[in-house]
Amino acid sequence: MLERMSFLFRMIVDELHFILAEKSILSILIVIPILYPIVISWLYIENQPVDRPTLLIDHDNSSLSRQLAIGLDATEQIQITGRPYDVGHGFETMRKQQAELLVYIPREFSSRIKKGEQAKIKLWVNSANMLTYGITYPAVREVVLSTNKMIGERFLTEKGVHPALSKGRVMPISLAERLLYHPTTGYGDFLVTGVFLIIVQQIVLMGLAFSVGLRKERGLFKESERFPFTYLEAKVLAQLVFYLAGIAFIVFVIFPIFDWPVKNKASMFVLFVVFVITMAPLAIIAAKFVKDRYAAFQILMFFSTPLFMISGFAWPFKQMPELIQYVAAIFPATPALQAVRVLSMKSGNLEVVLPFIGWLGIQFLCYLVIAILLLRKSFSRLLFRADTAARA
Amino acid sequence: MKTLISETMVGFKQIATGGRFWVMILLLLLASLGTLKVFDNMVVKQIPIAVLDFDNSKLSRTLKTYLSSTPQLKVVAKGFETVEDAKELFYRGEITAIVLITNDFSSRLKKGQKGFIVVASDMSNILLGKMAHKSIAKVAATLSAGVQMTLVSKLGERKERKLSRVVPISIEESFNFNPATNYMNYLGPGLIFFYLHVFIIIMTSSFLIPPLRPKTAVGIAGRQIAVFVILIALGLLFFYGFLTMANVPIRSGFETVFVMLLFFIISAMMMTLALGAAIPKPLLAMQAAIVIGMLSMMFSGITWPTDMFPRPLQIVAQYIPYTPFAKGMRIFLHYPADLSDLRHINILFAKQIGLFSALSLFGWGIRKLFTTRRNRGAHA
Repeated sequence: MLERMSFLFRMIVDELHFILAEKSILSILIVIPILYPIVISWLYIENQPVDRPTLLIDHDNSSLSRQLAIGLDATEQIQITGRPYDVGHGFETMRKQQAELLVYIPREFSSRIKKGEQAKIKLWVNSANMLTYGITYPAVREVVLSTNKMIGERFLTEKGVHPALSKGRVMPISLAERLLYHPTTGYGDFLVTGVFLIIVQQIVLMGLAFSVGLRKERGLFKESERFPFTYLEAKVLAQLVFYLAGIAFIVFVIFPIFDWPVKNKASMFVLFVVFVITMAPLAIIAAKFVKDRYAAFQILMFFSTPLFMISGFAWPFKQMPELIQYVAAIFPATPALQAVRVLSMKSGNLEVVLPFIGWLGIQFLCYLVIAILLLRKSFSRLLFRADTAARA
Repeated sequence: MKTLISETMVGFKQIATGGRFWVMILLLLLASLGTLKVFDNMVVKQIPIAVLDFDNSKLSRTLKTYLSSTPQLKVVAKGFETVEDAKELFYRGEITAIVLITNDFSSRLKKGQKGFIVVASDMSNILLGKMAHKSIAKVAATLSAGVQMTLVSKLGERKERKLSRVVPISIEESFNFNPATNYMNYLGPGLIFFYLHVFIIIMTSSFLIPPLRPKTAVGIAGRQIAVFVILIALGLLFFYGFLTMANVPIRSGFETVFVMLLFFIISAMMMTLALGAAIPKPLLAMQAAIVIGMLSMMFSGITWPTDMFPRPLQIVAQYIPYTPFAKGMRIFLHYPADLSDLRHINILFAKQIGLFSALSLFGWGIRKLFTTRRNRGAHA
């Protein structure tokens, strides 16, 4: 035991010297956790798409149609950027992605309403981008709803209903909305915190794989050491300083500067650390197979986005096919991202995310056992080869 | 020419016999197929909501029935007695919304007052929260219209005019470019071609770093031609294999798709080569290219519109090859477009290729200058 601890300590120091001597490892461990969060935070700084370019064709040109147009332009979500002379021209502009919405008010719009007939407005929505469609279409509906309300109240008043009462008679069922946890529905708030966790994942995976790969290239990777698992464990522990610094930068600097949602920074920090610990044996398994430093970039880069997508952070977990859910359950990013969502928006209490931490704990144990067995097996194979060579 | 062909063949051989390349290709294909599988359902359905009916009138039961029949919603029987219990359900993600029908709901309506439904929606996942909220609001609006029509009828309005008095303005909507408003069409192509973009960068870089980096310019060209052919094959597989399997229709002709793919691959490869020429250390150049590649999805405008970026990042986005390709895909995938419809996209590609070529020549020129000076110094 003492021998193992002494070996561990020596290897930690060795790895720290190696990291400090090699700028390329430092660039992964320091530059990535600084650069990516800043760039991504800056990118989503507006948080909510507003003023989506909208085209309006008003062939009615009545006071009601103008009122509707003013209502549309007054919304935060929509900005009327053009008034093409016909639908064909307007649609062409949409096709070129220069507008997201085309609203057409036909000639007989107000006259139909005056006659007590239903008037239609036509709407062409670019639904290729579901985010902006999800913002512009409800905005148009809201304006039309308000206009309908006004017309409805006027009708009832004309029919002899007291104006004060007619307000209650038009659209009589009212929704008292409580938008919980994320009332602003900002897209940046929704997405960015999860992306930060994936960045940390990549730093752990790639930092270790790169270091091991570089050592193998230079003949500095001594696989025949007595404690094969401890040898790699030491590297993870040495790099842990950098992981923790990166996490601290993200949670205590980036979060407050850019005002990303977090209920309790300390809890979020702890969650990230638990995630890193869970990732450690997985990083050891991945590092076992790299032959050189380039493999870290060539192979491990393909894990970040797919793992993010299958985690349930963006696309709901239960909406995925079962097979994907089972695959996703294997990876630490899945419970960690779900816990991030809770700690960023719902509660700062770690107790609430204990089920996810438990899930991470089970993963950690499984990966640890696999890592130890794998390294022992390869070490045994190595000993067998050395023994056979010695006898020959 | 012969040398170029033989170097290209060497490139093919290195890829075919290089285990690492097979691993990379396999990961690319698995990641792409797995990502497409995520959106198999295409739209969000059966979002769990709980309904608390304290009114228990005919109207409130009608509301519950309408909510249950909505395909986007699933009314679940979750018993909870306190706000804390409800919070637990939200924390665990077991429900997305609670609809509370107040005990005076129908009586207020009978008296001509507004009846209230309290809707508490979990907006932490805006996709689920907004869909649930929208669906509940639609049901409430339909029921509301029904109540209002009863009043309008009592006021003596003719049968054929009732709807127009309640809903005087209706919207005739047409969802273009993604008519089913499904997430497969929205994100599927964007994600798999993002993976391809990263793959292009990695493959191109792989022949610029030791030990595979050839010593001569012809050798480099030959390897890159081999990479190019494989990338074209993969790109076509993505369009006509994976997207077809995922039921994402391609509305434009083969020529348009092929030319756009060609420009995309050439631009991405040129960017990688330019960085390789401009940055002396091969590993650093590879890292820089991959950093750009990994950010390209966010810079593409597929999810977050580019006009919402800060101005400096809008400029940066214009020079990432994936950006014009993603914008172009939005057009040629969802609409029968020809190359003239994509002129503004091709201009962006031309600018990029021009810039990257200039950078490559400049970088190569500087290197040659330093090498020549060094050799002269050594001879002296």
